[in-house]
Amino acid sequence: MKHQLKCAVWEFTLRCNLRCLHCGSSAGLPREKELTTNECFKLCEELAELGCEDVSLMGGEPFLRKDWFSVASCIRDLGMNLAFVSNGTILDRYIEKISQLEPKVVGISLDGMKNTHELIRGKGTFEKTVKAIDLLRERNIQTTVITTVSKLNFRDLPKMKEFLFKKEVNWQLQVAMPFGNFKREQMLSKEEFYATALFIAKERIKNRFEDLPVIGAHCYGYYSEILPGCEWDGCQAGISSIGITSDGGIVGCLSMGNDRFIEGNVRDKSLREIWEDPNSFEYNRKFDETKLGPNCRNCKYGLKCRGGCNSMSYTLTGRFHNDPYCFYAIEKEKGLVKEGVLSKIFPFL
Amino acid sequence: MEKEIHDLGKVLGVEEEDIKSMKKERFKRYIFYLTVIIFSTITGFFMGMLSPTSINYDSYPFSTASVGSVSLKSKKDNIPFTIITMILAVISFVATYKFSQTLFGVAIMYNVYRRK
Repeated sequence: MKHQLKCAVWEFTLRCNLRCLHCGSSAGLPREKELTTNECFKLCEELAELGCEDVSLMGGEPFLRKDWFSVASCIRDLGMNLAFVSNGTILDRYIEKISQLEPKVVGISLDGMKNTHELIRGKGTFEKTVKAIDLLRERNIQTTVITTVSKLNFRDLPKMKEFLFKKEVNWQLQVAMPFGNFKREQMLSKEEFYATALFIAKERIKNRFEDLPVIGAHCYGYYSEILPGCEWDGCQAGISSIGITSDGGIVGCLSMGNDRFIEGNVRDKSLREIWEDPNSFEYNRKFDETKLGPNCRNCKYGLKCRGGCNSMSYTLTGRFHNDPYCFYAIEKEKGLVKEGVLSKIFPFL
Repeated sequence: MEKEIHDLGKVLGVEEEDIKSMKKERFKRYIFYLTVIIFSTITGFFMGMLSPTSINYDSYPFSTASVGSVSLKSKKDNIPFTIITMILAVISFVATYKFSQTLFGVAIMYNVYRRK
């Protein structure tokens, strides 16, 4: 089966001006041999050639690379959509250039109200990040506030909602996973995870979409008998998306913080060769029901969600397709599921 | 049950009322899908009447549309009937985000009509 690459998430540099408590990449210093500008241009061409539609530049902090504008321009010139994910602290210096590039979206990390955000990201960061959000909105650039939820900031969510309401931003919540700098004991419990899901569902129903679209990232899932609108086609790592490390490594997803899953390096092979290699990304491309782990094996949704987020699954259980942070599994565990006739007829709802 | 769910969510200000709204929201979705499936079935039936070939929609929940895929009889030169059926097919399948299937169906019908 031929797979079509749609989206590339590119760790443009591992260099970062912050040392966040939950950073999965343990960003700070750049990798030893990060791609040169010319190598980046070549990679952009290869992405375009493969028909990739969206490229997200993230880090570390992408704006710390001196050549970010020329590489981002190259992405745009090749007809691909551009997105940035930034901590927002130095974005004000480049706002005119960013605006010129007309990115599809800029993601800004905001992890709580002032005290919590600065506990996670360091002193003096809150105002800078909020200023970045305001600057982006002043220029009418589509902005998504990204909150990585853990025990550290979980209780700030209602206040954050008040703060972001009518700021004309999207708000994406994602779960902090225990790798990189992040300690496992700070991870949400299953109950807290589910409470966050209820919070997202509530806000989606209560608010007008224009006022504050609240989005649960893919790790907030998957199928549910209680929460409305939960469905997921499974992990897209190596199916329609890739992650690119700043030294040219190709992985299915950048959250798979393990060198074992690097399928190849664009310095050694072309991106097409890596992408079209029948042995690449086999955990996803060769998925079948026998690959489901014990948490998902007998689940009626197993073949649809394919065992949830592979990154979460691997980090917590040491294997793919076995994600224990699953709405349906929690509902069953807590005895909340009462399967009616309708849910049997429409198991996807 | 609502109480148990509320107990989980109250830490983030989720009220019992909100849980009820979620239930309502899910119910609205059921009704929507039911409507679409009934609509698809009727459309599929018309398509079958038009087409002397078999049109196979096997993707759940649209399989109901294949009810109409068995050829009943050929309707020659009935342009208004063809157009109305095609529009119904487009609305029906686009409503459920299965655009490729829609085009597939439309293409078959176009060819069937052209052959006559």
